[in-house]
Amino acid sequence: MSEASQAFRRAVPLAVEHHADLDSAARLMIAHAWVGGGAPHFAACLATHRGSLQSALTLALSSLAQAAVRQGAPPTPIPQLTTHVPVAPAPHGPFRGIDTRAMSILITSLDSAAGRLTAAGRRLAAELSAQALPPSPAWTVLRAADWCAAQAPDLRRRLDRIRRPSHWLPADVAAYELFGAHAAPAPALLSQLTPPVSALLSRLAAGDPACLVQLLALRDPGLPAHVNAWWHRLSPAVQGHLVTLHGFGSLNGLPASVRDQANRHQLAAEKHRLTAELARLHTPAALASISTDLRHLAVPGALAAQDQVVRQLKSIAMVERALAVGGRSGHPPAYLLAFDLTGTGRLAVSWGDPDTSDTTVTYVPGLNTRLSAFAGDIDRARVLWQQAQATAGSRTVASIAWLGYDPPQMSGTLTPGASVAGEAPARRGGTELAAFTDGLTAARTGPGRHVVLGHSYGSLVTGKAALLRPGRLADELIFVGSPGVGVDHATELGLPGEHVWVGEDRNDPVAMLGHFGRDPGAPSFGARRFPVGRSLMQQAHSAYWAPESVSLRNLGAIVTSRYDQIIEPPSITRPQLLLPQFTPTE
Amino acid sequence: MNQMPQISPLISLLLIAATGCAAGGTVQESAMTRSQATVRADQLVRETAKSIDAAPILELDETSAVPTPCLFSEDGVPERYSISRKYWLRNMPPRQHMDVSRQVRAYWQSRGHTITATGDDSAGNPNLAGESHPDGFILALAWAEGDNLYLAATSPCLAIPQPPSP
Repeated sequence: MSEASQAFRRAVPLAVEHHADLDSAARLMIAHAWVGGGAPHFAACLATHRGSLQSALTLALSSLAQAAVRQGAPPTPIPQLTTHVPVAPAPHGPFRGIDTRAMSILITSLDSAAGRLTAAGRRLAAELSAQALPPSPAWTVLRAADWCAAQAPDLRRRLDRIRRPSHWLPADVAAYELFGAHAAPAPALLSQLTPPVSALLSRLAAGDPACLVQLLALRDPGLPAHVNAWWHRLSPAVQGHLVTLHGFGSLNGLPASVRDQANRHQLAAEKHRLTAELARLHTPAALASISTDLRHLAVPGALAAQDQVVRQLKSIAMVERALAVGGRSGHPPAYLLAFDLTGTGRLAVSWGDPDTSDTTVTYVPGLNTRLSAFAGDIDRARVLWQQAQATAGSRTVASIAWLGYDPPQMSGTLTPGASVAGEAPARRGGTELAAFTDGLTAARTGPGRHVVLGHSYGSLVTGKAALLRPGRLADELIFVGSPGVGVDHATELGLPGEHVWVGEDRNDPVAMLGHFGRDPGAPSFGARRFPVGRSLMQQAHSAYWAPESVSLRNLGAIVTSRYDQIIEPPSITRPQLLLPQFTPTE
Repeated sequence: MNQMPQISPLISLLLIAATGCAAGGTVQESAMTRSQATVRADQLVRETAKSIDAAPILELDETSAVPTPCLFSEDGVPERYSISRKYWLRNMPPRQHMDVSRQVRAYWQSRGHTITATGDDSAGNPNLAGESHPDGFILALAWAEGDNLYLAATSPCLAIPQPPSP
C-alpha cells in the first residue's frame, strides 16, 4: 500500500472523529444560550468555523485520496463529513439575556473543542506535509481551535461577572459586557490573548522559529496590532535575523517594508533551492531512476519532480518580472506583502506603500486564480493604481493584488469543499482576507481609507470577510462581475449602502447569476451601481480593468472617493436594437 | 456547509471560465503592429488637442508609455499588449475646462468617433469617454484633482510577438 493510501486511512477516522466537534456549541446557541446583543455575531462566527472545519476535513481527505490515486491506488470514496444543525438564526436586536446553565455548557463545549481540534489539526498537518500536500486544511482546523480557545475564557469571565441566582438576567446588568464581547473588536479580546501571544512573540524574538508557525495560524483581530507594537520594540539585530525566517513576511501586522524585505529574501532563497534541486534532478543518477521507473511501468518520480520544480521556477520568474516594474517609468515601488509556493500559492503585491498611503485598495480575485497565473491580476492592481493616482492630485494611493486564499479551480468543481459552486472556499478566504486587512490597519502610520474590490468569486470572499469584521473591513466595498456576496442586502455587510458599489457589465453572465444571495446589482440589494461600459459577452467578465475604460475610470473615482467624477453613458438619442457583439463591422 | 454544485449556475460559471475568467483571458485582438498603434494613439491625442482653442502644451505621462499586457501565457508571460498614450494638457486655465470639453466632444463626433460616457457637467469638471472610428481605440478626456486635464488613447489588444520595451 502506498504512503498516501496509508495516510488516507489514518486521516479518515481522524476526520470522522472531529468533524462534529463544534455541533454541540451550535445547538446550544440555537437553544438560546444567549439572545440578542452580540449573540448573532458570535453565532455567525461559530457557524463559519463549523462549516470551515467540515469543509477543511473533506478537502484534506480529498487531497490525500487524490495523492493515493496518483501513486496507483484505486479511487476511494470519501465519507460524508457534513452534519445538519437546524438553522435558527440568532435574532438581531437588543440584548435579552442568557441562560446561565446553557452558557456554562457552551463554554465547556468550546474548551473541549479547542483541545480536540488543536490535536487534530496538528496530526492533519503532519499527514498532509508528509505527502507534500498543501497544509491549508490543517490550518483551518487549527484556526477553529484557536477561535474556541479565545472565546471560552472570554465568555467564562463575562459569565462569572454577571452570574445571578436567577437564570435569566436583567438586560441592564449584563447587556454592556455581552454586547461588547462580539459587537466591537477587541481590547477585551486582546487582553485575553495577550499572555500566549506575548509568549509566542518573545520566544520568536529569542530565536525559536517554531513559534512563527503558531503565530501564522492565529486569526484573531487583535493579533496584528500586537505584532506591530512588538516589532517596533525589537533591536535592529533581532529584526535583521527575523526577516530571514521562512514565512516571516506573511505575518500580518508587520510594516509593509518589512514584509517586502522578508518575502524578497524568501523569494531569492526559494529560487536558489529550486535551481539546485533542478540541477540534482538532471544528474545521471536521477536520469537513471527515470529509466528504472519506466521499466517497472511506474510513474517516473524524477520527471514529475522536474515538472513541479520547473513550474515553481516559472512562478518565481513571473513574480520577479512584476516586481521589476516597481519604481520604473513613473510607477511606485512594488511591495511583496506575501509569497509562498505551496499549493495554489500565496502572493500579495502592493503598488505603493499601504502603510503611508492616503488610500489603499485591495483587489480580491476569483475562480481559477493561482500563483502561476497571477501576473494578470498583479497588472490589474497596477492599472488601477495608475488610474486612481493620476486623478487623485496630491493624495497617495496604494493598490494591492491579493492572492491570500485558495480560490476554487476549474479542476475542483466537483470536489466538495473546493467547488466554485459552493461557499466553502469563500468562507476560508474571508477569514484570510479579514486577517490581512487587520494587518494593513495595524501597520498604518497615519489615517487612511481602505477599499476592498472583489471580482467574480472574490466578491463572495469579500462579503464573507465583511461579515467577520462588520464595518471594519473597509471604508468602501466594490464588487464587479459578482455572482453574489452571500447576503441579501448591502447593509448586512456592515456599511451604509452608499459605500457599497456594484459594477456589472450587462453582457457579463456571471454578474447575472445571483447564485450566492441576492444579485448585488438588483435595486433591492441596496448598493450603488456604477457604469462599467459594455463589452462583448465572451470578454465582459474580464474587461473591467481595460486602460482608460469607463469601468476603470469609475473604479479609480470610487477608490479615491471622487464620486462626482463618475462617468455615465450619454442619454440614448436613437434606438439601439443590437447587442454589441452583433453590431456589424464597418 | 459543503454544497454540491447546482447544475445551471455551474454550467454558466464553467462557460465563463472557459472564456477567460482569470485575469488576462479572452481578448479582442487588433491586426495593427506596435508601431502603427503607437502612431495612431499619438495621432488621436494630438489631433484632438489641436481642436482645443486654448492650444494646450502636451506633456507625456510616462506611465502610459509602458504597454499594458492584455493576455498572458499560463506561465504568466505577457503575450498581447495594449498601447496607450496619455498627455497632460498644460497651460490650460481652469475656467476654460468646460469649453475644452465641448470642443473635444464636437471634434470626436465630427470624426465619427463614439461618445461612450460623459461626466456630470454641473460639477464643472470635464470628463469624456469615447471610442475611435473605425479602429476601436479607447479615448479619454479626464479631469484630475489640482485642476489638471489629460487626453488619452488606448489601442485594442495587439498580437505583438515579443515583449516590447517601454
